[in-house]
Amino acid sequence: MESVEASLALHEQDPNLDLGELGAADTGALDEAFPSLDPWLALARAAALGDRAATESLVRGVGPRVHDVARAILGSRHPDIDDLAQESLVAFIRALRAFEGRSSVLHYATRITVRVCIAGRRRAQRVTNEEAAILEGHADTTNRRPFKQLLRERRRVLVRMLLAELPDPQSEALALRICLGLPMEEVAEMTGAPLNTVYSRLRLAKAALRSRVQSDPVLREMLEVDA
Amino acid sequence: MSGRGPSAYETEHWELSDITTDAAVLSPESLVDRARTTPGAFARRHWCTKVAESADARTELNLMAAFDEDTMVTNRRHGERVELAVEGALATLDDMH
Repeated sequence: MESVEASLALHEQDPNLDLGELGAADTGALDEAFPSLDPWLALARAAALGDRAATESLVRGVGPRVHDVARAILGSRHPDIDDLAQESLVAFIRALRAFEGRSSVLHYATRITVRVCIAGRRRAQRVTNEEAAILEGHADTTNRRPFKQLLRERRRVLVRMLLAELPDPQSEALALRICLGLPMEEVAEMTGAPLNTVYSRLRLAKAALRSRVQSDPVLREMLEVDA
Repeated sequence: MSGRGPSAYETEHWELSDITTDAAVLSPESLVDRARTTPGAFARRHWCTKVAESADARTELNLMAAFDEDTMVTNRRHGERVELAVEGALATLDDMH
């Protein structure tokens, strides 16, 4: 919530300033007063107005993060990572006009990438050959390392499959929290939802995951052994 | 707070103030967040112990760790693939203008 904090700090400097005048689209005064709040903000504002050089710098700047997010959501060997990372970058730039500065620019790009990748996974409606092999694989309980490795792989595949099946708010919360490992406060800030709402969404998503695990005898057995 | 990391004093202060929070009133997610982000080895160990004592927090941490492991896997082509996605996006945006 950088823009809110910036508004309050600005108000402390100039109590006569009417914060009500600082609408979502009119944040120039804040940007000038606090240029270091978000290193990408100035570029994002310029790119939103169609500045090509700013757009290119921004895409190159957030590109690695977007690609990393796509890998986390889809899996590091998923065949559609590059296409969906590219689609996410385009969607991010096109959505900049609607960016209200309620989160950082990088958070905004991350959230858009999560949505694009989940939508992409839904469109494909299939598991990759590798994921199918992991789901059908059997644990070698005589060797500790492959057993733990298989357990982690199956956890990842199950979560990723679930992302395509859950309602949007739950899959988004699950992706940001579990796949990207973000703190709860950060998930709430990124999604613009109250913290308790995020807790609630995440619990529903985990209940669905638990139910999926219960219906998978191999995973259930492995988790019991692991616990 | 400035851009520098926490001073030894700040870290010690956080450690002492944070671990006085009653772990029993915290959600599994809060326990995990503390174990993953609390600065200072002593306080982090404290929260890791609390996570170990909670089945739900343990499950959450195990799930997150599985993804941590996967996202750390990179190969020599990783940078090249990022570059291709970036160039592809820029070309698409150019076509749209």
